[in-house]
Amino acid sequence: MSNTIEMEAELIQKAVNERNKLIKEAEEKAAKILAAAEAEANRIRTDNENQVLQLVGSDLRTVRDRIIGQVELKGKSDIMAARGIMLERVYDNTRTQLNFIAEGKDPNNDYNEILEKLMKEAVEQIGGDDFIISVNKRDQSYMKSEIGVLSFKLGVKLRLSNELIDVIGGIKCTSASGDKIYYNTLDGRLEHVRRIKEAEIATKLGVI
Amino acid sequence: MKMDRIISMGGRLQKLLADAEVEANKKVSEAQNKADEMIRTARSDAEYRRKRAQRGTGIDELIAEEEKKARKEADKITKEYADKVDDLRNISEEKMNEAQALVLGEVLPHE
Repeated sequence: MSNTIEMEAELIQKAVNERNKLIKEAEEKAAKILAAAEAEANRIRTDNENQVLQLVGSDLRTVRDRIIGQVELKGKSDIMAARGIMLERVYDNTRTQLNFIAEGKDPNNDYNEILEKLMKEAVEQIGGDDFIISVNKRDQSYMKSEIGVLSFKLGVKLRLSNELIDVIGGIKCTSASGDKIYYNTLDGRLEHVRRIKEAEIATKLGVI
Repeated sequence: MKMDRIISMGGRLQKLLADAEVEANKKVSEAQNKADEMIRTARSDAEYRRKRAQRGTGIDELIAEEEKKARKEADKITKEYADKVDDLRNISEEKMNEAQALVLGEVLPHE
């Protein structure tokens, strides 16, 4: 009797195991099918997204370029403005210092020597031996008293013009015939430096 | 008598297995149908979106999204430029003096 029961129990267990195995395999297969379908659907969506982006890409680029372009432009313009302000500050400070020098207030720079050098340079650039010199109001009296000495030092004939030039300092040198003029003023030299040395000055400032 | 009992039980167990097989097939079949439907829907949605994009309609959402993205990027760029401008405005006294000395050295005549 007990053998029969054992045999029955064994048969039932085998059948139940077989059933569970069938169901489990089916569930696994179903999960795989769904996962594959999900992946395929995602691929379709991604491909489609790319297709749509290609189709409307130029519209989207236009939107982006408009917005980014505007801020880039403004940003660059702000940078240029700030750079300009800082460079201007350098020139302003230099102008102030040149005024200080021209007024004879800078112990490190003798303005009379500077004036003499500017004159020598001008005379050499024009060439010849007879020149008319114009200076600003402040330098006029000094030049009146020193023009003879300077003529002697430079080995040329210098005459002081009554014409006053509106500059920080320096001279306007004209050939006696009037056909050649050389402006060797501090103001002009500053402008010249500003034109040709801006990149170097900006580098020095670290604003390039 | 014992034999009858075993045969009868064998029949019931076979039915159990047959039912299980039916249930298993049903699960697989349902999953397959669901999968087919998912792919069909994805394809049909994609086709719909592609056709609308081709006609140039229905892209408002994409444009709005791109605009939002671009504005976010623009904010970042604006901040970067503002930082650079701040840096420029806060140049050290030392650098200013160096630059000024360079200019002055060029302006004043040499021998």
